[in-house]
Amino acid sequence: MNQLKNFTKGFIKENPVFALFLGLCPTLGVTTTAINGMGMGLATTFVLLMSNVVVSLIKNFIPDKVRIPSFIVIIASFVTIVELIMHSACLFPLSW
Amino acid sequence: MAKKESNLKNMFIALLVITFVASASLGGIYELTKEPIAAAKLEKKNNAIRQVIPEFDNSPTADVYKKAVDGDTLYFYPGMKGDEPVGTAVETFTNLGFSGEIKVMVGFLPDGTINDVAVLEHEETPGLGDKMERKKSEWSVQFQGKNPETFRLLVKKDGGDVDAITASTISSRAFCDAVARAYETFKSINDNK
Repeated sequence: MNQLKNFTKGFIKENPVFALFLGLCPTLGVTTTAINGMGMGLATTFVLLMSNVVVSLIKNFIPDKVRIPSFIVIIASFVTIVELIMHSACLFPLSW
Repeated sequence: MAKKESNLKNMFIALLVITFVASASLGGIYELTKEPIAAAKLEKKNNAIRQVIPEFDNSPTADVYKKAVDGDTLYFYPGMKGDEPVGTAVETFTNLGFSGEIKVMVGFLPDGTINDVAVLEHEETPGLGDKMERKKSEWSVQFQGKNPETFRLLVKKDGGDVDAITASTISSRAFCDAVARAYETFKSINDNK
């Protein structure tokens, strides 16, 4: 029950785009059409999911003092990967 | 498992491993996506060329010639139908944009008249400056069929003939600058022929 609750509260109550909106302004800026919004949503989901999985797997190996630089590198890598894949799939105009 | 202590050795190893894995995976993905990205860019360029000059049956991207102007390069894509030149698509640029470089494809008929224009890349403000894109607004239609010999490529505020985009005079001015640069270079090449 508790685990299910943890999962479902991500939909609205702790949804990164709705509730934790600060720092996600690009989502608002890019959502001018349904297609763009959909793409941004998928990209955000992928990056948050993957970076959280990786960070939780390796957090015990990372000394406290270099925690933040490590996480920045991991998240930035996923963002770049998503960007490259999106451009190569030509899902979105390159003129972004 | 206990957390690693923050001594120099642990920090060094942790950062080294993370940056190594990150750069290796990024490099791998870059190699994988390089070809499709290049193909998508070429396709986009071909679409822009088809949009700005009349129907052609050669391959303008293969016959491209370049000219260095103002510290950057203009690319000329000549379109031919049989042996007749039907027009030239010029890939031009400007650094006067509101944020960053703007790349525009301008199609000239052989007599120097602008056939059509298309924006390739820009970083202008969404909702304001990006109205220069045809899919966002009809603003750039005003360049069609105009000859820069008689049509002054400046916004009206600067004494020209171009209607600026509302609230985006800087972007409009930059666009005119790019088109004017393409025309000047196109003309100087034609005059020397």
